[in-house]
Amino acid sequence: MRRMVWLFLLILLPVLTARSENRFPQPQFESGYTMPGATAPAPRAASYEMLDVVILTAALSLGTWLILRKRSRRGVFLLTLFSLLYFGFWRKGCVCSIGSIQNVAAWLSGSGAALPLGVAVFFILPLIFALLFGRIFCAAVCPLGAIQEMMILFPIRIPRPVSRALGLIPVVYLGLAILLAATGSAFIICRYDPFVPVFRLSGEPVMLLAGVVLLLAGIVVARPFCRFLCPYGVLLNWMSRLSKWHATITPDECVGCRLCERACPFDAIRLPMTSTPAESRETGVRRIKRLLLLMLLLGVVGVWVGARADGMLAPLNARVRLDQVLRSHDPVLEKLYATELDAFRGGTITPESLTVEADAVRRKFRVGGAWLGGILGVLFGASLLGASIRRSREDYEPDRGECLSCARCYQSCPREHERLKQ
Amino acid sequence: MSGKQTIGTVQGRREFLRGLLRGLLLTGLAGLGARVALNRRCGSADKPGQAELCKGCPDLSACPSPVLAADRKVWQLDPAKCIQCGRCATNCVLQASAVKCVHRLEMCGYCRLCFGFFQPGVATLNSAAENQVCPTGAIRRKFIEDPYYEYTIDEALCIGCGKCVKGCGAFGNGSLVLQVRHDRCVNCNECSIARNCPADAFRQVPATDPYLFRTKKGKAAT
Amino acid sequence: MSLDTTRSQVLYRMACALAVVTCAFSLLMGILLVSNVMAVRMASPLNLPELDHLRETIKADPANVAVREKIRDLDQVVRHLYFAGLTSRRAGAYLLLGGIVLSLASLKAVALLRRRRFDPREYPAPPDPLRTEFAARWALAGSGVVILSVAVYFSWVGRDLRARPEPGGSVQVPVQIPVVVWPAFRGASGNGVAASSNFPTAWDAASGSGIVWKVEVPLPGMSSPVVWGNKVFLTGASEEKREVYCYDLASGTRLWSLDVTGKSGQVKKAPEVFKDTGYAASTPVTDGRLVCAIFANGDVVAVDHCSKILWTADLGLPSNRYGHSASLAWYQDKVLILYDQEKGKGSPSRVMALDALTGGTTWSTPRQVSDSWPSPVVVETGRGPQLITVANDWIMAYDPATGQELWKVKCTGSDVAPSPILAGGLVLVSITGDRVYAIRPDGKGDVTATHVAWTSDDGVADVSSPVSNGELVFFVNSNGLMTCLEVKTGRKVWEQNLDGEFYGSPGLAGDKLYVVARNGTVFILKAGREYAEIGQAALGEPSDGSPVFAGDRILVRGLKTLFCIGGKRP
Repeated sequence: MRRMVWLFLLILLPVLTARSENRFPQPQFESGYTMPGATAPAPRAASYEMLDVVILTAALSLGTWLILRKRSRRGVFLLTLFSLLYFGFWRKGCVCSIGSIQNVAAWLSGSGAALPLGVAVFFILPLIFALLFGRIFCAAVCPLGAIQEMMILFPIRIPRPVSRALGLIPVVYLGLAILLAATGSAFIICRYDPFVPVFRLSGEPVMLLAGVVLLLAGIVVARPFCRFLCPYGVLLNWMSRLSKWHATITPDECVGCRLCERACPFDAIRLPMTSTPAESRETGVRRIKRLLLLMLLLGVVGVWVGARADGMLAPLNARVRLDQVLRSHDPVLEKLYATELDAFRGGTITPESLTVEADAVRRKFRVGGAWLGGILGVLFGASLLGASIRRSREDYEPDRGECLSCARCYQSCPREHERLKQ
Repeated sequence: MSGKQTIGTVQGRREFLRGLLRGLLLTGLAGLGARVALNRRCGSADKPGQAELCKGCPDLSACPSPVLAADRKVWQLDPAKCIQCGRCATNCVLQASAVKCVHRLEMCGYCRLCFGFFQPGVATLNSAAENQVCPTGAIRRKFIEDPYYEYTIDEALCIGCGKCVKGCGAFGNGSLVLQVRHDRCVNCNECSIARNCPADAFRQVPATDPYLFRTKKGKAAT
Repeated sequence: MSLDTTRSQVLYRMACALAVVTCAFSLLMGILLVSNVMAVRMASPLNLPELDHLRETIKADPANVAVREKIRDLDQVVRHLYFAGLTSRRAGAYLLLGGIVLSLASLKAVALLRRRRFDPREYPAPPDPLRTEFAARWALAGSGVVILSVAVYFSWVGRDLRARPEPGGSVQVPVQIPVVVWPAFRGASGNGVAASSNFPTAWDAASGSGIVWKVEVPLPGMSSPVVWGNKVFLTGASEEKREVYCYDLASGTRLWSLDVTGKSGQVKKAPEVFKDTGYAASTPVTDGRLVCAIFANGDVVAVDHCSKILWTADLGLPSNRYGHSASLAWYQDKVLILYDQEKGKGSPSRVMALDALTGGTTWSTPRQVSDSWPSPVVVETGRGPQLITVANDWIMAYDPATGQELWKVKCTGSDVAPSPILAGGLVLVSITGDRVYAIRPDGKGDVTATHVAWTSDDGVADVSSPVSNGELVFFVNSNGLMTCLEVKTGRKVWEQNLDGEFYGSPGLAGDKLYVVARNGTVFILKAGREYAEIGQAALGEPSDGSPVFAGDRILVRGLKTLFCIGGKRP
């Protein structure tokens, strides 16, 4: 009996206190009507994430075999098509390895962001494969690369100076993406991804347009995003340069027949260089020394410029932006940000604590920006140095960093044809 | 050029250095992977049911427990912070926004004059077009018994603008809330709505408990 | 395959034709899709000023059938367009994708058929890689310099936040439900009229039914609460202390309490005030960003919504026989202060505007009047905003932006206390010890002879301010005599003796009058051509307050307590 009383009170208690919670009390239905409950549809099951990882591993492994062992362009093409359909149109290009850079950066910066295991695998696995076998990921697995591959119809040759000059852009993009992700400000790779709106068939009009333009450009300039914009490609480029087994044009040895000179739509085939320069060794060494000095100087300049990055980059962070608007007392700004200010005033954060948070972010930008500037400066100097060093070459071989291992050049090699006959 | 070179030659030295660097990077990458994978061990794993206790915690992003830190996260809107600015309807990458209005009927007062349904100051209480707040007519008004009416949302018609939520929150019980519907949401890495939310009302919640139904303005999620 | 055989030639031509057809199809689909998207953007159900305008019309005139039908038609058309647009957009996207795939396939066929094997005999010598490498170095250096200069430029300039693109496309959702506000004494227009009409007509303080919350206010004061959104601001003061409070409208929780004693810097002796006036008689003013309050000793303080003091000002100790009581007014980021002083004592009487964000004096106009107790009110006449002030000898109007005197009317009052209102296009003022004046506000200079529409000896209230629905104006004097006059003519419609003393001003919500008696009983009357009492409800505590209407709640300040009444099921 006593238990019944307690139970009764327990049920009554929320009803009694409900008046202080709700303006209008719960209805007491006389007809015995029962309320339907709210539906809660669940998101994609976690097992599907594992499926993605398995398919990624399988695709990378299959790609390696097709490119290095079987040496089949058709096989690579079919795998590319599969990746386009699965990772591209089915998974809508998200989760992707390119964006995973940001997740890793955010997690490593210790701001509390989580790094799901699937995303970590998408970051690490293609890099490991690149370190061992070259840019297999670019060849046949990346959906953004795959969609551009389908657009290669009448590729033209980009002169080396132009492609080298443009090659700085992805490094800067990589650095900015890491900095902005590490400060918790923005995921610019995701925001400015041109192909994901195409996969989703919807999105921001500007990005859709950019995607279409890039795809149309891809008809004549083969894989423009991969070569001149992709930040992950920078990392794959570096890994691939160290790879132990890389795709080669010839299955055994190069006879110098020149038939592969125009075979690569990405201008990644390097010609033999046996000519000697018309300068003495001392001049060469002096140049190297000057370039090393320049590299150092560029690093210092980079640190100095980067330390001032917070002016331009920090407002990309929502907290910094709000703090700036709040303290500006500028009526134009207050009108533009009226909704944000209304929300802020209705909240519980004081302007002081907002300023404290914003200043912390600004400091992160100054420090991170200095690092970024310094590293970019040194990298710039290093690439200048690399461009000034003559490397002798006797054979036609693909540039280990730039070659996307697409296996197109195999068909132009007579040694390959001989191998196929056997 | 194939074939191993001896360390003595220039080529051999280069190969050696490359091999070294390759080995270091491989170890580094593998180490990173191991750290992420092995970090699944919960600090307080000794306590049975710890993960269950943490479910629904208001601030999982600050969770020190690595089990949940590696958990798959999806985006969700916190009704306690939402100011119904209307950006949910226009900022989603999908054509029809993944954010829809959800009616928590257990909190509803079943009022005849529902502030989330009717425009302020209506002359007659019927569901004529000029009386409704919802621009797409997604709320259905059904008479149950005097004086109670039930209001249900047709999700196919809801665009997630939040006008009904605003009215209900300002003058009613606040039973209508906006929520991300996970049968529609594609779970972008950076949610466009979250980025543009003026009240910072979006956060990532575990995929196993992806709704924030039990929050009220001024109170934390329970 | 080469182009040698006629079969391949035929195939090549076919491939070209197919390519042309599929590309044309894709282009067409693309154009259709883009135009579809633009059309739906134009007629989005979220952004239709025409529909909003029609809704406003029908609110004012609910019986208008034509407008109603127009709304229904427009609403249906727009909704159909929107949803049909969504499905057609999806279909169009798929068709476009299909078209593109086919175009690509046929173009690929064309490319394959056209391809010729590279013949190195056409190029006698391989290009010298060394030269291109060195050229590349200069190009690299050049692009690096460009990037560096861009970085240096931006690091100097910083980011201009004004160049902000509209988040998420160009569709802005108009906010139809306004923020709950009661930002000054007697509301935004200073006339004591509520924005809505859904308020309870009965409550019981003893049992607490109908009372949502009540909280004890630490220091007493005659000032009314002001509301913005979910925040209620209040002032309280004693001889030694002055405080500003902030309460949550929904729950009554005190969010913060700020002691502003001595914050204006000067140490002054306490002013002499009449017991009934108190030290915090003036109601503060708020605009959501900050709340500005004035106290009986001349301290003005502006606090932001998070209890941070923005600025303080010291107007000097007032010489005011009953104590300073004029509440603050607000106009376009300026706090308007009426500071009337006893003639011949201390500083001269003046009305001034302080910049709300900095506290600096924007303008200050001296007045040839003695000390007064009504509050200044900013009204929007057909000819622009006016700041109406009332003193014993003069009713004066100023331009709130510049402080320039617009018009004045002579009167002969004594201890005048009621504040003016604008109703039916007339400024209505009750001058204590004189008459009720109704003034047309479109005059210039001394308009005593020309612009006084009517005067009345009936209805003269001595303390509380009037309230009007545009047709009828209601006065209540301190002895309880309530009078209803016609706004247009000044003719007395009815008068009634109410049982009680009245200091607080009545409020109007819809067709209900709320009048608070000094003993805490609230009379709820019908605002009509005949006296009709709807009910009486007690606060349970003496009160000199005027009702504040916020959303669906009524706030009344008692001697020690702030009451929040509401929660009636509509």
